Amino acid sequence: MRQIMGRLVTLTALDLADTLKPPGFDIMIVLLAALGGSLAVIQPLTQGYVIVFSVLEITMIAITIYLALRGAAGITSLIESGIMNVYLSYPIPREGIAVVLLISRVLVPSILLLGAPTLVAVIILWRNVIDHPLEVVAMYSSYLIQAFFYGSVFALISLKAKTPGASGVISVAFYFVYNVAAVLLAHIGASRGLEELTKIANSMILHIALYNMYSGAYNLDLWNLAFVPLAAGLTASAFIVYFTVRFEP
Amino acid sequence: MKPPVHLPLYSRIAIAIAAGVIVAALLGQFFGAKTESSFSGAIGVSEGNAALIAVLSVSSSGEVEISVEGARSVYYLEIAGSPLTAINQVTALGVQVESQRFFYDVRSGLGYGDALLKADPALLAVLPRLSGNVMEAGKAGKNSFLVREEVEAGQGLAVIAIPGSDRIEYSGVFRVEGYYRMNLETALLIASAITLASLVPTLAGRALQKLSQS
Repeated sequence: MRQIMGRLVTLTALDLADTLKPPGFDIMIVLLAALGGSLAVIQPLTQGYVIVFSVLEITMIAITIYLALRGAAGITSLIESGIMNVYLSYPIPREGIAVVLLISRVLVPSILLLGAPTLVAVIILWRNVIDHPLEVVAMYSSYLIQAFFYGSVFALISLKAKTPGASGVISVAFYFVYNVAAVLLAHIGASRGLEELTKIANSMILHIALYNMYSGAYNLDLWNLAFVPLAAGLTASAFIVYFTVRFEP
Repeated sequence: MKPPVHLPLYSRIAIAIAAGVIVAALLGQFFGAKTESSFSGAIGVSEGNAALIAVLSVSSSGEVEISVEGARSVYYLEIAGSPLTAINQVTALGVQVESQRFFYDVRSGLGYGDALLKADPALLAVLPRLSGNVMEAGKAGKNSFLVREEVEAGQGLAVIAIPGSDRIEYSGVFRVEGYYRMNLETALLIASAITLASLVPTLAGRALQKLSQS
């Protein structure tokens, strides 16, 4: 067991070296830290949840595209180049490799790329943040869970896509359709006075739901906040199961 | 040819954060947030008209102060969401919106707008009382009123003025409270410290390695 854990850690480090390799990752994290941080200073932000929302709302688009290109397209590249066969020949269970891919292609890049601009904002506006640390952590976590959900879907797509290009494009298309669907539902809900429809739309984007909860714009039920975490858990589980049972490189 | 030697991941991330702190502090110094914003406007009114003035603090908490001249009575209520939404919502009550304007001061995070409402005078008289949270503004002189309220981020005020003359004038100020931003000097100091702390162990390790090899 200990040996398998050691091998899993080695494989995670190896795969992370590809996901976070320079110069792509370095350019991305510098840009996100600088521009995300800039978004924190152009308006007076005094509340923790507003600070994180202002910084990460636009930043999230870039992170999702990174997850689609380095995450999903990266996994398809591993399959296409034959490196996946090398991974699979490693004496560790397949579900372990699936978890490694989710960690190195989705979770760690999301933590770092969302974390850098948030940290810059926290440093620059520390005295405003110090009164609302939980709001900052909660909002950051909501973005992280949302990114993990997108990343898990992208990872699933990557196993079926034929080329890295197709994998990246289909992933970005999913992200676009999902977000447009949320906007349309919210719009129809607002114009027809159907509050439940608006709530469903808000539930699809966890950070919007949390923002609305903090700002008091909507009275949200527990399921509104549980929707994305559940969906993320389901898609991550589906990726692990498919990779273990059905996937043939 | 030797392969490029990259810095360790923690150094690369630390340098990115240091660069982010410098860029954000620089931008903040020259184009950063304002902690006070003033606004004013005037609306020509006649019989059957009322004026609606709406303000919203998008991103910060603070105090809104609005003085209204030329009104017979002034009512106000706290709102959440866009002032435009507040303006549009009154149309559902059979009130016609004859004109509306909306402005947004990005640097103070304040949105404000006004609208000219037209409806049956009897409806206009009861309009402010349709919501349970409506408050009556304090009188500051003949036909002049003063509204002063604390607002949180995402909250604002909708002020309804029933005319006492043919022109309603308003002016207001929004003061952000509890805002702090690190100054450029401190930011430069912190960014330098982050960069040094992340580079020193790596560079010292490499120097020691070279020394031991030679």
